[in-house]
Amino acid sequence: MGARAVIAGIGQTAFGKLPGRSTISLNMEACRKAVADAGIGKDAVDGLLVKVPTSRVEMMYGQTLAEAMGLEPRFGGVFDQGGASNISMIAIAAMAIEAGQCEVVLVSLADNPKTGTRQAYEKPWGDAADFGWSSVVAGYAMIARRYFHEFSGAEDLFREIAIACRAHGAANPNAQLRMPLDAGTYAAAPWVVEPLRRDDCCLISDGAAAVVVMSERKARELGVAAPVPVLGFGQGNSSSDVTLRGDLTRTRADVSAQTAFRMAGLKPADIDCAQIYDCFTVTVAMTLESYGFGSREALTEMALGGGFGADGKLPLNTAGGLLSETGMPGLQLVLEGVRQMRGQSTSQVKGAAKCIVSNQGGIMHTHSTLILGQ
Amino acid sequence: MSRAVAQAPGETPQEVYRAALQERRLTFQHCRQCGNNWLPARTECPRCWSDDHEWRAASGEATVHSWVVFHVAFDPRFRDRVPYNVALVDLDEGPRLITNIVDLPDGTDVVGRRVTLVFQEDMDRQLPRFRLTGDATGSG
Repeated sequence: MGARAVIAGIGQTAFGKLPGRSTISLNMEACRKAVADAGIGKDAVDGLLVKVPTSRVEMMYGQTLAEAMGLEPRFGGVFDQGGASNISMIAIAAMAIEAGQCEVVLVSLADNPKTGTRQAYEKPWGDAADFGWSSVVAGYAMIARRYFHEFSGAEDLFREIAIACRAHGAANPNAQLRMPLDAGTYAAAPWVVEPLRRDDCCLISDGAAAVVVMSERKARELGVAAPVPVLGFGQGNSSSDVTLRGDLTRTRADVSAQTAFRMAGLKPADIDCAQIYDCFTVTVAMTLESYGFGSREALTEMALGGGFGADGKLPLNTAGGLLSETGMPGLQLVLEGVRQMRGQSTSQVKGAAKCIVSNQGGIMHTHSTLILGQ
Repeated sequence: MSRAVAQAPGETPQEVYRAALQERRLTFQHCRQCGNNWLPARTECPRCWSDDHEWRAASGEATVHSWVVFHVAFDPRFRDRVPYNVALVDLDEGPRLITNIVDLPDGTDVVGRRVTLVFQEDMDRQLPRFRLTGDATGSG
C-alpha cells in the first residue's frame, strides 16, 4: 500500500474577466495556492505538466512556465488533448510517479480567452468555411441536432442539466455566473447555433487551476493534511472530425469510463456525485449515458425528478460546471471532486465517498475520466 | 473496372478537390487498395493507410445526416446572412460533407431527408449545395 496516487493539494484563481494577467501569471497563482494547500514547499516539486492555453498556443509552453517558476523539473511539458488534457495529465503524473520518474507533480491549466482571443472557439473550419461552417458551438450543435432527432426527450434533459448546473453555481461564491436558471428563461433565450440556446453553452472565462499529485506514501511522508486518493482513470479518443465520425451521438467516453471503473474496481452505482464536462448540455447527456448512468429516457426521468441536485440520485456539477462556475476547459471539475471528497463543497453531497470526473476536448474528439475516493 | 474520372489540376488533394468543384463536378477519393470512399480530401486512406487512390464523381444523391442554423455570425463574411443553415450530408457513395441546404423549410427536421446536388456560385467559387427531394428515408 502507499503506491497509489493522491491529489495532495488544489489551487485556483478567481474566475471571470481578469485583465492584465498573462496565462503564466494565472498558472503561477494556481500553482502557488495548490502547493500551499498541500502544505509543501516548491523544492518538493519535481514534475510539471501543463495544458496549453486556448488563447495562445505556443511551442515549449511547459518550459516557459517552468522557467517563470524557477523549476528544473525531472518530468515536464505540455500534453495536448484539448479539454481532456487535464485528467490525462493527472493520469500521466500518477503513472510517471509509479515508474519512478518523479515524486511530486504539479498539473496546471490557465486560459484567458475572455480578455485575450476567442479565436480557438470561433474559427472557420478550413475548406468548409465558405458554407459558413465555423466555431466550436456549431460542431456541438450538429451533434445535438442528431441527438434531438433520435430522442424526443432531449429538450427536457438539456434544460434540466443547465438548471442543475446553474443552481450549483449560484450557491458557489467563486462562480463566474451566480444567476439561477428557470425553465421559462431557458426556453426564451436566443439560439446561438440552433438547436443550442444561450444557456446550453458554457461561459467564456479567464482563470487557472492546479493540483499537486504524489503517491500516498509521499503524502504521509510530507504530512499532507487532506490527500484525496485517485482510484481510477482512463481515456478514449474518437479523434475524427464530425465529417468522418460514423455515429455522431456516440464517442469513446464509454471506453474511457470502463477503463477507469475497472481500475477502481467500481461500477456506476457506486458513484456518489459526478463532475461532468459541460461545455454544452448535449455533452453531459451523452457522457452520462456512455458512463452507464442510464439510458436517455432514464436520465431524463431522473433529471425531471431533481436527480441532479446535491441531494438527488446523481448530484451533478456541484460547483456549477463550465455552464456556471467557469468556462475554463476542465481542471476546475477535478478541484470540485476533491472538495466533495474532503467535505468542503458549497453544495456538499452528504456522505459522498466516490466522485467521477469527466474531461473532454475538441468537438468530442478526446475524453478522459477520473474517479476519486476518500 | 475503374470508374475513375480525370483528375482536376492541383498539387495537393485539397487543390484537386477544389479545382473539380470549379468545373462544377463533385468528386471524392476512392482507395484502390481497400475500396474505401472518403472526403474531406487527404493524401492517405484513413481506413487502410494506402496512398494509392483515384478520384470518382459523386452521383449528387445524398441523405441529410444532421443540420444546424447559425443565429450568430462568428465569421464576419456571414453577418448579413444570419440565420443561415449548415448541413452534414452523406453521399450515396459514403463520404460525408459540410454543405448548405437550398430553400430549407422553416420548422422541419430534415435529418434523414433525401437531397440532390446543386452548384451555386458564391464566395467567388462554385459551391456544392443540396436541395431537398420529395422522399424521406425515415431514420436517416
